[in-house]
Amino acid sequence: GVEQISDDQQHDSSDDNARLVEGVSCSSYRFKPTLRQDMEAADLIISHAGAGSIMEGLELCCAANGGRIKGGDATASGDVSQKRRKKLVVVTNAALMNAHQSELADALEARGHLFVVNDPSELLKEETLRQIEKFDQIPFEGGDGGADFAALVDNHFGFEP
Amino acid sequence: TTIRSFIRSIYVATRVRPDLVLCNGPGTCVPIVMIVFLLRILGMADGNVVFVESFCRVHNLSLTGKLLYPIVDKFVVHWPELLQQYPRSQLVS
Repeated sequence: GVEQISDDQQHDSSDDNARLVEGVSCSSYRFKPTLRQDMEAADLIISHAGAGSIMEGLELCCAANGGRIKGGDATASGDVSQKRRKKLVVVTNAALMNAHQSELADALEARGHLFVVNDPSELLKEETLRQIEKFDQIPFEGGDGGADFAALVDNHFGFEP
Repeated sequence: TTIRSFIRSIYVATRVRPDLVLCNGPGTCVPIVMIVFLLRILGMADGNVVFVESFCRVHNLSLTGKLLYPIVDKFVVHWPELLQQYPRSQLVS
């Protein structure tokens, strides 16, 4: 299941497992058709290091943090002065296929776009939480892959754009 | 099953004679790409292949990528780290 820790001030009563844990209201659910709404509302996203989840997380962080998105679905919230520092933390699973998740996660971390944790237990350490707090995430703006790819194929066949 | 898919690919490729094959990586695309390439060598068709490597591949290619790199017309990668090792590849970010 997915655990969503939400601020007391947020209205989150629709879930089956809503409860108070040490003053923080928590709710969890097993499945949802899409996590997008929850991810949009969150200030901190802690996700597994799957490529799709990473991409969606980066896109939403970029939109929230006032970055320029090219070719994505999210629309920028625009107000850069508000600097709503949305962060993405990913947890890699080394048990999957030669630890392949680390390759992508580490490359993105090296460029400052997200924070990597290699084991869920690390999230329980104060040191890790402090690092996450201090982490200044750089928006992942990416390129307009769709248009670039189309241009590449057209170019190959000699079509003018 | 690879042999079966290989034979099926021969059938499809010669029937359809695609001008362009776009693939994004799973091993299942290997037979069809090889057949299209073979048909071109034999002068029987003129198909082009564009292979897009996985976004997750930063430092090295997938097995499918390594197998098909020499024979495709355009090899697309998402990370600049790969361009040095595979100079025929092109970056789309």
